[in-house]
Amino acid sequence: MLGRLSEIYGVSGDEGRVRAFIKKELAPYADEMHTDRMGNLIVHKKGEGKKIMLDAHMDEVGLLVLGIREDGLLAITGNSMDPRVLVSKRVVVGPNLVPGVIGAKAIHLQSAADRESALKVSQLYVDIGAKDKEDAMSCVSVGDHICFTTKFSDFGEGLFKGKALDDRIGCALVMKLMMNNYDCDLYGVFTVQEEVGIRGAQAAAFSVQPDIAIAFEGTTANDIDPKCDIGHVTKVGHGPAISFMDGGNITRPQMFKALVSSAKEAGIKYQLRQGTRGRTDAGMAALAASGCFAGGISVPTRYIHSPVSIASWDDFNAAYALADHFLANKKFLEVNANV
Amino acid sequence: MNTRSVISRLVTAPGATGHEEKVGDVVLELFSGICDDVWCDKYGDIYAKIGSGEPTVLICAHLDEVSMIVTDILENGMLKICSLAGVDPRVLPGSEVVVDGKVQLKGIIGAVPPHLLTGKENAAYKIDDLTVDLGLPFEKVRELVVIGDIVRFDPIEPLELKNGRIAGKTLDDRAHVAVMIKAIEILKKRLINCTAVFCASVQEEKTGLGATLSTYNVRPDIGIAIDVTHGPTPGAGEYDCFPLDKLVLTRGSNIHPKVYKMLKKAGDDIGIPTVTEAAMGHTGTDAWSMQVTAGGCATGLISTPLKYMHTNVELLDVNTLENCAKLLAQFIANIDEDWEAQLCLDD
Repeated sequence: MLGRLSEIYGVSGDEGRVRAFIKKELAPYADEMHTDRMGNLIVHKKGEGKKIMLDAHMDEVGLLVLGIREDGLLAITGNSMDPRVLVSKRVVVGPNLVPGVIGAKAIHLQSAADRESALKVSQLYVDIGAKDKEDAMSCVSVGDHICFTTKFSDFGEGLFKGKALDDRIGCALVMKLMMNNYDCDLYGVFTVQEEVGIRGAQAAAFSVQPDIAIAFEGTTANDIDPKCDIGHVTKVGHGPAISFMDGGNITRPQMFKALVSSAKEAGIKYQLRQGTRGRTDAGMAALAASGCFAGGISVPTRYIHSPVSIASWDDFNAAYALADHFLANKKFLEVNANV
Repeated sequence: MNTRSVISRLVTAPGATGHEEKVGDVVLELFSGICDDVWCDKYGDIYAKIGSGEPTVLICAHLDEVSMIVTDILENGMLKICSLAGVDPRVLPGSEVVVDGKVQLKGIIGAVPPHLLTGKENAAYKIDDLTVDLGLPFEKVRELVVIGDIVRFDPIEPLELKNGRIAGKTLDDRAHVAVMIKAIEILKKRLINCTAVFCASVQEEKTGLGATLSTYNVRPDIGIAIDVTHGPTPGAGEYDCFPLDKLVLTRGSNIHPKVYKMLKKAGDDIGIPTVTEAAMGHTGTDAWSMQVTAGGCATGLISTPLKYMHTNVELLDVNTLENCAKLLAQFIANIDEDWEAQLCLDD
């Protein structure tokens, strides 16, 4: 399921294909499903007691067609990505999934200054092989979404690689959890536009107004340099990461404790998300209506916001087990306003 | 043989500069399928010969691909790399690669996520900044990889784009190995009055060794390199780039003026348009080595324009490749008993 999710094209604002997949898979398990005006998919399994919202975002980083040049090349715009990862990659463009590539001036043609400086998005183009502007306009339009095409597969020892692991990992976890029955009023919320400013979650969390929300993420693992012992945020293979805070949410202590004690009780190796930058849907869930207890469970993922990322099956499975323990053992009952 | 499927087979075979054996085996098989006289030399150049008598024409298209080499294994199992030949480090972040260790290993060259950047992102990545991630623990990496192992771009088939254009790795210059195969097929149906030796040459990207050895071995009267030149690229010089649908013939000190004329005439004879590129000295092709080896030969150069050279998304027009094969075949078929006079330099 994660492999299929990873390969679906779903740049922020164009999450329809991801939504269709999740809807189809979860239909047999849901009491109600609806898509709100922004495109968030809200899946409800009715129950008594606390209202729990499990959240993951459907969108992935990508680009938009900014303009079509006279020579048929597509000028592009994007954010949330270091432009240095774009050169020499394959993409698909627009609703017709027109294949293209992001090229750049060959090394032979670069000046010494060119070689020193990073290419900006404004210097990069998508080439679909069009002869000229008119030829390009016959199959793509300004505003079309541009998505990477990386294939998902197992990688190295116990790892997997693919595009959009941030946050199809979260989508896969929430989907798996929504297939179970827990003693609560359970919502699975699959949001849009997280990568352009946590937009979807603002609307969705207000609609649901949960007591407790958990955002599931594929989060930064910058554990590449063996000499760097801080600044890695998380480490691949060291278990799911529990957030004490992120860029937009300071986890309420009772929520943090309930998640940590869930891991301990279930004997799950976990780590803390040792970074405070990078916002998640949790922050928006916390702000919904009169507020809720929002926490985060993440699977450490190397090279997020690039065409290809890496994460661990053990971490993924343990993140599921941690959330399952929290729900199955009603650990959420420990999360109360009066500490 | 279908040009696209030949190209797919060629570009997915391993063949870093100086390590061309595996792609050489593919060429040997392809050449043997259409020609009885096929052999290879001790450095891995693969030859196919058709025709007999004088003159002898040697045609070279190179086999090797730009690639990297492992320079260090870090304590967490990550690999450090350097360029073996021709790699632009700016294309590497976010790329998939293969490491030719004891077994073939998938690797990823990652990049720091934007959330953790510190404002120095205006500087281009240098190859020393980058690491190859195999997803394996240190002990396993030490067991499977040694310093000096080859790191190649992920060997995937070219992507079909609009208008018969394709994009992918190593079209420089294996697309022209496919052109040689096509030219042999055309010439088998025609009468030729000379000896034509087609050579898939090694080590063009670093040493030009393949062209040197093959010229020494074959002793041609005429040497033709077929290679790529630059297609239209924003920000490049006006005279550096050529339209994708036109074949390019080079003039300059590396090119025998009469061979240039004969190539141009071959194009005119069959209605294939050509444009001319000027090169003062080194053409950056096998023609450079061929010209001076074993007493020297009369060299010519046919190029197909290709965008984004030395990246994973090298882009060219397959129709232009087909024209390249036709022009090359016509050039060889045009050679008659008057060849020596035709090559005579003007005083």
